[in-house]
Amino acid sequence: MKPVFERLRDELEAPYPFASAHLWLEPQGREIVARVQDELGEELEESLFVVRINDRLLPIDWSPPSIRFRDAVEWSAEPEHEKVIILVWADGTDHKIEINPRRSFGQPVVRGIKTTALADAWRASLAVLPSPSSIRTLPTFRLEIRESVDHLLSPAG
Amino acid sequence: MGRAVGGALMMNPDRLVCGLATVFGTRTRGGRIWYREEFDAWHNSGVTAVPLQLGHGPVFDIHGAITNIGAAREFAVVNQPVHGLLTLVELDQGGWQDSLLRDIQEHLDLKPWLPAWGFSLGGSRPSARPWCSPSAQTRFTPGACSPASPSRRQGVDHGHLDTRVQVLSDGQCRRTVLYSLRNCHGRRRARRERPFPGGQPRRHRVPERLHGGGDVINLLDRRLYTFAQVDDLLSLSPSTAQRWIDGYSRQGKDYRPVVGRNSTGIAVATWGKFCQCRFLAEFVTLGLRRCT
Repeated sequence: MKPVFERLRDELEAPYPFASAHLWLEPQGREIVARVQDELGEELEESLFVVRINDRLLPIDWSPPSIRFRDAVEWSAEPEHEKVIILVWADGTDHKIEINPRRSFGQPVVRGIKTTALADAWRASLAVLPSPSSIRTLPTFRLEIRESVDHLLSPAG
Repeated sequence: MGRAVGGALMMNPDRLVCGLATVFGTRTRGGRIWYREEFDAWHNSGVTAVPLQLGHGPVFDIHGAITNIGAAREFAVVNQPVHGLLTLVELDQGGWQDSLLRDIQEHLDLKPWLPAWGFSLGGSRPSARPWCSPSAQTRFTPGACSPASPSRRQGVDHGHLDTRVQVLSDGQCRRTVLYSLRNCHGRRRARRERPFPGGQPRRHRVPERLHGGGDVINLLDRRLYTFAQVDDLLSLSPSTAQRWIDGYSRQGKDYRPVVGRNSTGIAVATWGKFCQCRFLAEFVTLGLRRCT
């Protein structure tokens, strides 16, 4: 993947090509990636970043991993060429846990509350409530707390 | 929370933070420029305490909005390291405040979750803050509005976010100096433009290890996470982010980084590199091992 990053860095003149609005938000972004992918074909797995499909209007589309990344980020509200990624949704949390450098200093949050705080509340509730199932009686944030705790306690996390 | 004992205000030294509220004569992020004379007029109007906020507004928890997280009661004009207004603030008791104090301590322990953050002194007219409760409003006495500040804002700087931390040794108090990076940079540039009488330019001492924050820096270039934190946040195996961002050596051979042009030797990743790691992580979950 290194050659792809290097080529795109030079072509887009952007230090972070895969965080560039030009790549993701403009139609020619896919074409640039497809061209680089074709030129570096021997060094890459096939259809790594983009795939060619039988669609006259949209002959090139992002590959499934690229689509997942595209759907996991939010862009700033600036003009098209000035947009930057301002938020990344944590993987596998269905847009519940956000990682935003402008909120809670970049720590993962759920509706502005740090997931670590939610996890503390979860553990505290386990210590206080008579049984773990009683956590379901908490009035709000049940789902978010569960997901936060799952995310925090996942094997790799 | 401070309490009056025999007429003197007692503060809890464990909850004190000392920092620069503003730098005089330089433009803040909000576009406002504050001058010493304005502060004098404001201070002489009898202000005894100014509410302390985070990010110019309330913070929220599961119980609701917290308008103020503390109060600033002591002010002093300083000329070093910059010409500005130094203030001593006390954080109230509470989870948010405890979290802030813990973050400051982690920052001082070189575990930077954040390269930059800042408090706000809630010096605006209380009516301009609709979330402010009547009891909170009574804690602030608005000062006289000087001709130079005809807007609804008055009092202390509203645009001094993005600050940096440095320790001042003190046996009893937790004291930190919060530099306004933008203002430090602006003042530094201004000084370079004119010759310094002594022949040697004066430099403000901003710790090298704290480089990488401030609102003059593009969001993508803002340093946010250590490599271990990137691994955690993206559920990567240990040291993966370091290999991607900073490269690695194995059996005498150097491997260049994937997401960066060259190895920087700085163990804190920028937001842009974090985003690219997030992109790469999608491929790792597919079993692709050629990333490194």
